[in-house]
Amino acid sequence: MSEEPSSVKSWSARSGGAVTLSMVTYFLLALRNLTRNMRRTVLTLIALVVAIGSLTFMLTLTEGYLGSMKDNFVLTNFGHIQVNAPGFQEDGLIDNFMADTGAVIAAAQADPNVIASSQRVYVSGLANVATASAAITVIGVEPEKEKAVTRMANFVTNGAWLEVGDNGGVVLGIDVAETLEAELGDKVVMTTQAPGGDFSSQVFRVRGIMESGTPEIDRLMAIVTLEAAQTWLVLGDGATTVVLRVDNHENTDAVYQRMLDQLDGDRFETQRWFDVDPFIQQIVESSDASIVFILAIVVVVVLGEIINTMFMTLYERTREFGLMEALGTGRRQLFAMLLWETTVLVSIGGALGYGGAAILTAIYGRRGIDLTAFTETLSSLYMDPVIHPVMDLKITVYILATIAITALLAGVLPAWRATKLNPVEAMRQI
Amino acid sequence: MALIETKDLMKVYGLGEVSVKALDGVSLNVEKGEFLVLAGRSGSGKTTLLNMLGALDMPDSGTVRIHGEEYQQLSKNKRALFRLRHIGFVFQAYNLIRVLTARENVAYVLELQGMAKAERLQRADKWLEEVGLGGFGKRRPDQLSGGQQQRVAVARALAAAPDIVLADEPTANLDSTTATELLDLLVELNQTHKTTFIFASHDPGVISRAKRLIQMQDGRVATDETL
Repeated sequence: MSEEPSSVKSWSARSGGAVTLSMVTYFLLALRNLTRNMRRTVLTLIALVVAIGSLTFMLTLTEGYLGSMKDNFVLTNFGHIQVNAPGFQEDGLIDNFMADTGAVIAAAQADPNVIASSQRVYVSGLANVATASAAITVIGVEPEKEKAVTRMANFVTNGAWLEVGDNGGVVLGIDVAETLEAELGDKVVMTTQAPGGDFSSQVFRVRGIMESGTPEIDRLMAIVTLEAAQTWLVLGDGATTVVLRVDNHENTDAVYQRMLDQLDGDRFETQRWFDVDPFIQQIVESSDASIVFILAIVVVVVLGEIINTMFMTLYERTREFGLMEALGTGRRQLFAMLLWETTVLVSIGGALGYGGAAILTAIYGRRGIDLTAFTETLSSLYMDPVIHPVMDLKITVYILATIAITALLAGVLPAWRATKLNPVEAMRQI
Repeated sequence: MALIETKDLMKVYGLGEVSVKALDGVSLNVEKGEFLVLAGRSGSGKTTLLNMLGALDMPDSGTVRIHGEEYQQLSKNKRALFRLRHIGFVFQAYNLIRVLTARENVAYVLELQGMAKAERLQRADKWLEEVGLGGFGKRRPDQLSGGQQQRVAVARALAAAPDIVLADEPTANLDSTTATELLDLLVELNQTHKTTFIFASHDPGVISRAKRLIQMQDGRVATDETL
């Protein structure tokens, strides 16, 4: 053109001869094109919101009950890490006690992620009253320190937790108490084997009865002070176990590794909670696998819906894509245009679904979902009867990744097809 | 050197077992500033030739040179860039991007060319003014009449400062008054800006404005006269 070619040609030169469209234009086109067929867009959005929303809420629910399972397992009795004499965890023999736990206590106190530790003595035995007897596991604990390590003291539903120096008191699991028909203040004779194999009996008075909901505790536990157990079993200052509580679950491995590094492996055996009882960890891992499986199903279903929508879009606007190409729009721009459209659609649906689930999580995170009708089953799995869904970074990353993968996969095929259109044939299409 | 040179253009379309020669050895030169009409019956090859001149379709054989450049050797992407730099289009219908306003439709091609936002919007406004649509910039295509939509298409084609504007039956969907107004505008723009216009049309109104008329018949140039 004669009058103004130089200026326009210079703009082309400035863009390096390449065709360009700004992000704002892509976004604007995507948004406006999505409103062209509102009914279809709304239906697709509903599918997305329901899929992403229910997936997110399911993840927060799972996170909530798995978190409570881990907490309950660790804080009910076990602690995050236990240090024993080598072999004790396997044979449970009192002969395998640690005569000196000083090195373990010192290492625990020096560790920045260990928030509390306490010593215990574990020994199997028999509890008798005049009319009945019951198999028990005697646990000698440091009453005050134990409160900082586990929730055992909170499970006392009748009477009181042990006081420091109360070396004649015992707290019984509720089923033990019922078997013995023991009440507060009653005398219970407890018999066990001391190191060396000699039987030894001791009389204790019932100070408290505990109900944890966990069968192993309620049916077997008889808790006395560490001092009482040491004196009774002639252990000196020794203990069978040192229990550590870590500031959060994620640091368990790091603390475990440091303890391994610092403690003499010939004298001490260090184990994490899931080394000793892998059941809960297996549930956590199988839940992770289920989540990935469900995630894949949701992605496939949502993908089908969006790909269908985007192909309908491509079909309806074939003529317009032909026009755009005729005007000089490059393949890359056409590809990006449809990909943007898919991304905006999926992002809106994803954001609404995620937002809705986040609101539900906030509401039920405070209120909880009451499953007390299944208390017995849940307790045996260390689950609370009231589940509180929890939103965390991992879930947000999962959902963001799902949205991104879905948008990418759903957008690529229609976008690629758009680049294959012949402008002349496309513009002939009605 | 002519602005456009075509030599022995051939294009055959297969329709089932029958093949139709849409172009059968078309050779012609077009100089800068011409106002040329390709006339002929439906199926005479005028639209096919127009698509070849616009680098929208590829000949089976023969060559097209625009500004001395042969686009047949270019990739699909580079042909799009070639169109962007050299050619403006006005089609019969569905000329505009439906979700963009008149102003945005004009500015769209300028953005593809890499022009800054403020500059391209200013330029779009100027060209809408020039085609008599000042004040219509914010309207979407469905808020414009057929004639107004064609004017927006003309503004878009010219705003990009192409060497050639190709118009395929631009008046076919317009009433006679609107068609006359549009043609008056195109003639004026041809005279003012010396833009090369090539039409494919069998509308007598368009043919009567031609400075050069090429009659197509069975894919060949039947007559070529300067008026």
